[in-house]
Amino acid sequence: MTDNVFGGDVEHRLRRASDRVRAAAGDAQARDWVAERPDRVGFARLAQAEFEINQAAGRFGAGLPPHWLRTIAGTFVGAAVSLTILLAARDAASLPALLVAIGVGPVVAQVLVAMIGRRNRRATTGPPVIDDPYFYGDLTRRLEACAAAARVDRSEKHRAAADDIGRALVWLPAARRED
Amino acid sequence: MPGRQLYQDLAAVRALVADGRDRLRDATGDLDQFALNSARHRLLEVDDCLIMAASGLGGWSRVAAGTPAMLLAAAATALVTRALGFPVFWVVACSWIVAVLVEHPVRKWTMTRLGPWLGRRRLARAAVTVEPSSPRDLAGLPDALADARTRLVSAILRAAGSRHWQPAYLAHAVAGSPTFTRLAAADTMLCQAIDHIEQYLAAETKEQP
Repeated sequence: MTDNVFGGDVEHRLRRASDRVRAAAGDAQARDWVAERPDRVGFARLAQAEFEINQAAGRFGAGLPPHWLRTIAGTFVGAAVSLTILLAARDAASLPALLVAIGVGPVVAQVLVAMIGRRNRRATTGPPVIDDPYFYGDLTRRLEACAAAARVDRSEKHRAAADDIGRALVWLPAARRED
Repeated sequence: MPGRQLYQDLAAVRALVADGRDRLRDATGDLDQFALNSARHRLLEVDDCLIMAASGLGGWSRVAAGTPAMLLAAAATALVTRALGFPVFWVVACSWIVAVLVEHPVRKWTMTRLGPWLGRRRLARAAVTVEPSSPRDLAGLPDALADARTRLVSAILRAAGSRHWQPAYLAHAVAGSPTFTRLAAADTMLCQAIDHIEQYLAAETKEQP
């Protein structure tokens, strides 16, 4: 994470902010489930802020689908497996070889994807991010920079993103307040 | 994941949420107000999330639906192209391309049509009768929805298994497993709905001293 709040284009800055808010909200939600930090309001409001930030980012571009890296890697692996089987087969145009090659590709890719998904599990947790005052300070600063950039944009669609960010900036401090 | 138990819990939550929606309609009618509109919208979305969570469709089901379709398309194309006397390379290439083109809509159909249908059916089968708490006014609604939420959270924890009751594991499961992603989304929507109704009630009491 760079220290320059004006670095990069607005869409990616917003998406990074959205990822951070989602991580904080998910963490707070899981802590609420196990009653480590019971608070059903905070994470819901963070999720509202995340929704608004995503709306704003969506005005700049469609963005990548979720798990895009996994999808592309899976497709690539599946195609590679199919190709290998076809090259190894004696008669590539025979129906069994063709069907095995085409059928095994996606299955192998899915096995790999499932293994990757199971592996990267972070066991450690620090203090909850939702209680971190610097999280709000830093995020507010970055979002305000994004709103300022969006407000002077030439495109009307992009200028509308400033309103979304404004709503996100209302939800964000509301998540922190303890009722 | 213990299927039957989860479906029963989710069906109960769904019934409670539907009851909450009815109460909200009875108490406020079509009153056009930001917090109420948001709450109505969220309660509807909770229903969709629960249905999709009950369908239990994820990566494996997509592969299970997509691969047979792919194989059928590839076999048909291979037979046709070979009958037309294409060279080996073009037989393989055409079969592959057609297979991929057929697989994509089948995958999509699985998630957008089959998923809701399956979820609805499972929840309808596991339906249980829940008796909603007595006072049917708006002031009691947040508590009633909070009851539904408690039920949802216990269903989630039961589905995760008591070995995994650590925030790090649960957060990871939410990010990785489709069922948990949807359950967490349902929980978030429900909490947002409760929050909106509470905000509306707080604003109302402030206006009428």
